[in-house]
Amino acid sequence: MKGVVFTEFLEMVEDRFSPDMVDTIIEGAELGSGGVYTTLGTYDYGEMVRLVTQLAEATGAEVPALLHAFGVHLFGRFTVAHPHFFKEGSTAFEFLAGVNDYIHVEVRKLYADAELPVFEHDDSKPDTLVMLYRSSRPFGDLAEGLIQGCIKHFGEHIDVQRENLESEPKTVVRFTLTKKN
Amino acid sequence: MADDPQVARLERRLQRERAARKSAERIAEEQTLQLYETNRALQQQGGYLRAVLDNMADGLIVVDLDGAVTLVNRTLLRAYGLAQDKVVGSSYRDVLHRELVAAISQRDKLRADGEPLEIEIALPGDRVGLVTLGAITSDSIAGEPPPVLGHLVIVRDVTTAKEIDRMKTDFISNVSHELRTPLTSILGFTKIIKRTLDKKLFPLISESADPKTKKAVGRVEGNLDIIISEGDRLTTLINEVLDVAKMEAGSVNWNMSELSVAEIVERVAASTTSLFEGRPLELRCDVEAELPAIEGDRDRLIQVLINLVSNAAKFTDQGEVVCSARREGEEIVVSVRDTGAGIAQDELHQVFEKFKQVGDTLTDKPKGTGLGLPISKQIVQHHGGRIWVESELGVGSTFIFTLPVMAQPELEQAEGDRRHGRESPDVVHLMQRLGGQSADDELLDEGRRKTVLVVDDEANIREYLKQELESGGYAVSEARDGLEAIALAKALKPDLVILDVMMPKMNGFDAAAVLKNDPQTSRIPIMIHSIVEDRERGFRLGIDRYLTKPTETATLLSEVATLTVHSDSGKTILVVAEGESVTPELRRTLERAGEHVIETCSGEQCFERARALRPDIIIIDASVVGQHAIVKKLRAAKEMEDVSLFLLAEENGAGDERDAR
Repeated sequence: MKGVVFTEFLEMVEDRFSPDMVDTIIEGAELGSGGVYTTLGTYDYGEMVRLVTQLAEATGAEVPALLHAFGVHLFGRFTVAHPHFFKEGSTAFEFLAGVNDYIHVEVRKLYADAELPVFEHDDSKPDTLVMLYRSSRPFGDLAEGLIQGCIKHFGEHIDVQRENLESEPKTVVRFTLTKKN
Repeated sequence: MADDPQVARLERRLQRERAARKSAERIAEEQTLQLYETNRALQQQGGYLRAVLDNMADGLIVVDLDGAVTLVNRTLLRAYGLAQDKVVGSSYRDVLHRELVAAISQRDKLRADGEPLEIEIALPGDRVGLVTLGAITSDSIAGEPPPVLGHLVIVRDVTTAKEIDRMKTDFISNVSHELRTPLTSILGFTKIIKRTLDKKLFPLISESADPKTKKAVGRVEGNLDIIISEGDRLTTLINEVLDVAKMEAGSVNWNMSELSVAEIVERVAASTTSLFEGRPLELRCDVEAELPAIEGDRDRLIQVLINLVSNAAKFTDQGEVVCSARREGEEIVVSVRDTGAGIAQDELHQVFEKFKQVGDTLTDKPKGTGLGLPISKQIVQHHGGRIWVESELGVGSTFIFTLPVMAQPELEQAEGDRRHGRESPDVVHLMQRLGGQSADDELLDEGRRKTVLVVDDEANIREYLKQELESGGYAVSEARDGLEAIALAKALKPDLVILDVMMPKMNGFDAAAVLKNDPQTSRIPIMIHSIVEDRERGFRLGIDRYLTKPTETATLLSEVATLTVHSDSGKTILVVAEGESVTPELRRTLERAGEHVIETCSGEQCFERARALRPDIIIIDASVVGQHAIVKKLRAAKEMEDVSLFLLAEENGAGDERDAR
């Protein structure tokens, strides 16, 4: 997992809770990296799982809720760091449909070693977008948070239904997005 | 202090931050190195690509959408003597040669996903270049045309290729011309033999013949017919090969004028009647009323349509062939539909290829040269049209071509009349006044046999013409070259000179020029009978007819009759006109009426020409400024007392045309 995800996560924890909370979860998680992350580095995704688990323990919140919240936060940061991905007049559906073929292609140009999840989509039905998330990591909640972050960014009214199709060895989640009139 | 958990935590945090900084520095260092390596590899690759581009035999230019040159290779810079730094970054219009600029500016016509354009240009040093102009596109997003980034221009020196192509065309052209001479003899003599046998020998034999002899007579007749029909086929083939050669060389003389498609269809229907006679096959014409005029070469378009109709007749056993013409937007669409066997889909694209005949050529005997359709395609394309075929096996084929409608829709009456083959009223009136007569009205003067001087270096051709002309009732003299022809023409004053072009000592064109400029011989009609097709040059010299070998006996005799009849009565006419406004039409009309000596000149030259030519009639066109002043001056001139003067008035002025005498 790219270091930028860790640094963004720790910044969110520092903002929403406190710098001490960052220390607490790093120390509790017993990380191979020692909690030393740079945006450019690549780290074991298991460290993210342990950090989130530590945060849940320390705050009493549920892991899925935390991952979801992180997803929403991450998308907001993404819009600030990479405004060129957002064309004027485009929609949430257009953006989400282009994640696999456009955004991930660009990401690979920067980080050739990035292991990215696969987002298949089906927009054959009007006002509906079906997205299939496939990953070797258990981050369906993070994906859902990212989708919600996207909808929030575009300011649209879209209903998201989630079905967990598989969890071992790969995570497969179907999101059905329907525009609300 | 160190026991203070707060301090201990801060220390750990500081250590983490230090470690993170070190880690970031290490990654930055690694990535800088990587960047450096990548950069070097890119530079090497760029240098390699640059070397490849510079060493290309073709010149190369890349222009961006704003017209700035972004890349140019050494080949092009050298060819035009340009410096790289002056060209790259500048607008192509400012720095490139104007021929290249003109070619590149055609990029507006390119479509992003279309074929590249090919444009021929002149290169420095009298060389010929072929510019290939294509769009540079990036990857297309599904469903959208690929975005155009700029244009790629490749300039190839095709001088040698063109030269080889020209040599090939010349060779084909020369060989075909040379084939015509022996063919003229073979066909001519065979026809003479057949006629002599039919008229004189066979009747004698059949009167008293036994069945065996009669059978032999039948066989000889049949064999002669085969020689003649195969000779005719060979003539067609040679003509088609020549046509292809000429079109490839771009040396076809296009005789463009305003035409009516309805009239062309009518003509074609009339001349293809024989193909449908006695067969369960019908030719139907369906031409939309009031089709607008087109601009084209009448004979060539007739050639296209005859080709399509005769093909349809050839490949259809029964049913119908429908020739139709209709307007679609700014085009006239002409189609020939048959109920024949049809063409398989995978063979459709081949029908317009040279020497291709679809179907199995081992089992199906080829019925022609396979050149008719490629020639038709070239002709249609020259007219700015398209030709294609639609076909279904077992149902039939439809050959379709389009011709653009002429730009100006409103036609003047006079032009419309010409289109329909009618003379404009003043010319008709003038002809009546002149008492013009056609060849058909007059019989050969039985009292004095007309003399024809036959000039050809080939003894066989002279012999053939002699036999044909003598059997037509003419006295024939012969000359072997231009010089002999001039001497004999002066001594004998023949009624007609038939001249070959390619002859030793003096060629036919030069001999014609001498004869037409010598007052002693200038009134003797001249007919060129040659394998060389340069009608324009012939008519410029003032010759009266131009026949190309091999000639049909009937055509030859009828032309000879026309020319000799009028050698006595034909008047010398001087037409005075500015430019070419009225002269071609008038010339045709007068020639048709047998007034065989016609000179044209402008108002300024007319006194000088009149004095030199001593014409019987002077016709002054309305286009000449100061008509009446010229008449006065001519009237006052010495030796002009007997000349008839005619003034042609402006448009439709039949009543105004008057004898200015």
